[in-house]
Amino acid sequence: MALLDVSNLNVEFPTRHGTLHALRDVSFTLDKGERLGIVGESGAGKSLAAFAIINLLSKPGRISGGTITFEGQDLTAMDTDALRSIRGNRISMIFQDPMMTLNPVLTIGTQMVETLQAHRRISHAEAKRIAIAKLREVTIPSPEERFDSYPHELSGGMRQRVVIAIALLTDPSIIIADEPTTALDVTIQAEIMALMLDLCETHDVGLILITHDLGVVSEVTQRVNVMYAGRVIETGSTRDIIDAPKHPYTRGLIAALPQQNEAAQRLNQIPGSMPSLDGIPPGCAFNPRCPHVGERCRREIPALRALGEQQVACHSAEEVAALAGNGGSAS
Amino acid sequence: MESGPIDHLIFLGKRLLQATLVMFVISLIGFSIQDNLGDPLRELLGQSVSEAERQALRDQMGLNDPFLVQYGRFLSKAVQGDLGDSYFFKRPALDVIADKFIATLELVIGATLIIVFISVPMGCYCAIKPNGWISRAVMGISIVGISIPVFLTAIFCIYLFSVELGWMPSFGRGETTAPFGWESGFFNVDGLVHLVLPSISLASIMLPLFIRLIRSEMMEVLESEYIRFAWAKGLNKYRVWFLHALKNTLLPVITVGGVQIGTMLAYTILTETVFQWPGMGFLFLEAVNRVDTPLIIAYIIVVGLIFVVTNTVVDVIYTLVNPTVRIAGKAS
Ligand SMILES: Nc1ncnc2c1ncn2[C@@H]1O[C@H](COP(=O)(O)OP(=O)(O)O)[C@@H](O)[C@H]1O
Ligand SMILES: [Mg+2]
Repeated sequence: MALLDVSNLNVEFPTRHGTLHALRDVSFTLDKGERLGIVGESGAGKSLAAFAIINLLSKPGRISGGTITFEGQDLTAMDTDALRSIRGNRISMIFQDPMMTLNPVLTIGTQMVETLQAHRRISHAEAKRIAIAKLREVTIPSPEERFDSYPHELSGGMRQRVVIAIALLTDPSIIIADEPTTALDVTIQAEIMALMLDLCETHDVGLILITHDLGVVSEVTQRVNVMYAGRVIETGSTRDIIDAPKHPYTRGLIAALPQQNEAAQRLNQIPGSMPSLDGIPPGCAFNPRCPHVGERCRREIPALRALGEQQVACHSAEEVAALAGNGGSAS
Repeated sequence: MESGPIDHLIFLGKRLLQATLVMFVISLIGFSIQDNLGDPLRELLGQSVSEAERQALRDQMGLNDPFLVQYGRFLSKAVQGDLGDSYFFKRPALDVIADKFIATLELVIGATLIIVFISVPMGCYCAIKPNGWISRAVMGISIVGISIPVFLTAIFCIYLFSVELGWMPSFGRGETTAPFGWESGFFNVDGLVHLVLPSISLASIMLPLFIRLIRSEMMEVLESEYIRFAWAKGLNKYRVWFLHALKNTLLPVITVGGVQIGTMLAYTILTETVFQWPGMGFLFLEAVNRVDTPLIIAYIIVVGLIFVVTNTVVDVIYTLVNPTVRIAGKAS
């Protein structure tokens, strides 16, 4: 059995003008020590999927269906106290912007020690020892001094290292990282990503990496979910999907990667933009932007189905797959 | 990267300079209203003195000197603690005010305690459970409360607690004792009982404001990423609310609080009058009725000074306790 099994997860936002369905039938699994990528444009529902796992959806949002099974227990059916013993303990999170993640008026030390003490009966001295060891592990210089620093005394990169150290404090089995390098200076993005990969490997921690960067996904993860307008539209091993995408949207994302076409033409962005939740067209949500759109795509929502090694939700997947094969042999 | 002691000194210097400047302006205003309050000689001598004698006295007192000369003289005396003698009490105006200062301070402290102990828990509660019926009721009452004048609250308190229920005395300061060298009502039951209604009345103006301020600050803080991260760390709710969120909520509230203490002093005039509380505000109103110009000016300057000092102290404290403001000064 998988460590984490998300099955048919639905998330909705009740609003004055009706209910917005933000996630529809999202399913995926994560094994121990496995690294899963979730990719898609901004607004696809990646963060919602992450926050739904530990039941931290922002205000009117709620899980309206599906199960989230972690170590055999359904997180959606858990009471607050039981859930709290999992949050930050068995499943940790890393947020996008380290400048906003740490509390500005509490020291790094306070924010680390409290995390340990929330989950273990442990003295302050012992917690401090563990915290400093973790700070050293994420290569923060002079960790004893940094322990007493306030967040603003550290650079963005250093703060994200602190957040990573906090995520690792309790030896979790899963870390969910929501665009952990997007807000950082480009020069240190790769460094932080490499650090995370290294730590996940050495501690055998499972990683759910949310990003809109397929390049990072291909370097770090073993499997990937591609999301569009609240649905998983393609899923499988990272290698298979990068080499032979079967959904036109995934194919578009890959074509837009800079290194793929620097010799060919300029950035190959998918034309148009993702619809907002209240403007999703009937049929396949991607159909207005799709080069392979057919009459059926405008009527019928494609279900996720197995095709070769991966699963894809597209009526024209075979056609796209054939194209991918051609593209591969031509380059 | 930490801001050093030099930065603190520079900041302190700037703040002190600002405070001095404000005091200078207040003294100028205080001094210039002198001419508008009638002829000081009439107050001193009455009507039966001849014009020649009057002129001689004017010269002698320097009342015929140019404005700036008179102001300079006023200022040089003022910095030595001499704001002239009260016409009515025939004593230094500052001494007269000092005698009444403790009584007013008691009232302000009483009201501040009431405000702090009610607005913080209520503001927090309304932020944490914004849709509960208690929160709606508190918010509804507070919006009405803001618009009720102090004297109405005061009269209502007197009617209910003194006249109808007979629980509380309706006027005066009660017994005072001086275990620490100054006469105060804080150290005996009678004094404290007398303090209750005036403090409630004075607090009632600021209370709704502070509840609403704390609520809205806290609601904003609760939406922030670092609070979401605190939840994601699995902290218990009391730690998230009362450490992570409250500390960030109260920092801006402190600044507003400092300003409001000054405003509260202005309201003591009304409260003290209704309750015949023998403080500075009551004294001021009497001085206005008697056209006791030196006492009026001294009051304005003393209240101005208290206002400026509290604001400066609050600013400095705020800078010291808030780590993020410390770099803001550094970065500029
Ligand atoms: N509090 C909210 N109320 C209404 N809609 C929301 C709320 N939070 C997120 N959404 C919607 O849910 C969708 C998915 O958001 P999100 O998961 O943050 O996307 P991303 O893939 O960029 O992380 C977006 O279309 C967004 O508009
Ligand atoms: Mg997001």
